[in-house]
Amino acid sequence: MSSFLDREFSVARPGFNRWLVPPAALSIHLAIGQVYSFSVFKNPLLALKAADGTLWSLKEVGYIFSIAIAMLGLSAALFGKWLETAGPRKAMFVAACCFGSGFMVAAAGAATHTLALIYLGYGVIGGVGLGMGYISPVSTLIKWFPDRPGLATGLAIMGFGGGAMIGSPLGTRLMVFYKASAHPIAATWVTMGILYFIFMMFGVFTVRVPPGGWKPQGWVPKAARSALISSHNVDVNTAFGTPQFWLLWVILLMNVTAGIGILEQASPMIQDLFHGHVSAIAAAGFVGVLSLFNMGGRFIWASTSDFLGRKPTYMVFFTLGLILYLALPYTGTSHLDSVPLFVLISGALISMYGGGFATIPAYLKDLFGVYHVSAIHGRLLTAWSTAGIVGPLIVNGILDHYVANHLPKQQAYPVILHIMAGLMVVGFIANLLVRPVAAKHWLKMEIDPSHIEATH
Amino acid sequence: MATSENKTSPALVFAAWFVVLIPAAWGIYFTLLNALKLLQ
Repeated sequence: MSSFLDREFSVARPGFNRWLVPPAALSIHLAIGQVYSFSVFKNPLLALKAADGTLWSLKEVGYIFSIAIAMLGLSAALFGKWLETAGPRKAMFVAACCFGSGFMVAAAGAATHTLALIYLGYGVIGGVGLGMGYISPVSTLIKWFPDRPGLATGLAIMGFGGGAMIGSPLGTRLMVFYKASAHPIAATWVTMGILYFIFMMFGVFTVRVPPGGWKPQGWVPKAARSALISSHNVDVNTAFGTPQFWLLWVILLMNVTAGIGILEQASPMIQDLFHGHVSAIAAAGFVGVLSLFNMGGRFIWASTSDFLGRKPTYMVFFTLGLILYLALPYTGTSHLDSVPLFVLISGALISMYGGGFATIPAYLKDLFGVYHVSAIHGRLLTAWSTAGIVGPLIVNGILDHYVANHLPKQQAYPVILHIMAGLMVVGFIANLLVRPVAAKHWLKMEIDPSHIEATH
Repeated sequence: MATSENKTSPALVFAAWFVVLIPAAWGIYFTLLNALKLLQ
């Protein structure tokens, strides 16, 4: 039985303007990016009392976000191949249903003080929505913008960075609005579930796939400027076994782990390095500045990679990253004592953290072709989940060691940041080792990327 | 070949961008307000 959601019903008619597709993708990413603002619910959840007066611990509440991020990576890896055949509209619809209903189930958990329901709703069901939503527009955008794949995917993934900027004030304001109700958090989540579902449905209705043989008017594919830009396609299962996939996995892991090192500790780090000079309020402002660099970097670096090339772009990330991570501790009070320089360097580093996320789909497309790019991207996102565990482990492990041994916390940051610089070296080497995918891995029956939408 | 009859209206493209950029601008506004606290 065919439906509106099927791929064949989402094929664009002649004359369709491809600039309608980025807003469709943005509606999904701006919504699911809300997950990064989950911390606004932490304190209200910690204060939520059960009928018998019991409270949840910080650790228990912290698991909600961890489960959601773990499910993001897992579902992107598991359902990526299905997405390639089902098409972006069906995948976006599933993402909207999961993300919206996840809020509803979690709201029931908040109303009845049942943490398992919040884990299931926001963590598991919502997490599947995150994974499906994150990868669903990627291959469609690349097919619509074969002339500027970095710009196209950068636009969408920029939305994920911007999602927290909407989610945070929205969540806070809704909780204030429902303050007088019996269950303010539950009411907030029900409202957010409905709002985000409607917003994501805008993307479902707007998204189109290009018809077979479509290409931008007047655009002629250039002869490959680099051996790293392949005109061949590789199946997701085959790609998974190539060294290129795992080198890119390491590249993403290193870039994200290092970035998390700053993001995780942004507020306490600036206060510790400039002890007595930066207040808690100003530190919150620093977190806001980093959010802007994170979002801007996603668009700027991914777009720039269309001109620089993907491999040189990551070379810039890792070389500049190495220098800046080494330099950052010396901006503190014991050396240069320059808050503006600290903010500028941190901002540059976080822009490259975001840029690494946004440029990776185009790098995958260059190496493996467009045929299964969303599915391959989905599997690569397991590097993100890994970084989410490794990054905080490094940072918190070292900080705990200094605190436990009664050493000044300020002395821990040079160690942490120099470890991050070491990760940049590993990433640089991995990027250096990236070579074109061997011909034996190419799909036997070669497919013209512009025909893919019509052929499967 | 696309004809002028079936070409997407520029107004529709503008409207689609408007739908996503308005909430994004709202979020950026609050983030900028927050970022300004760094100057305090």
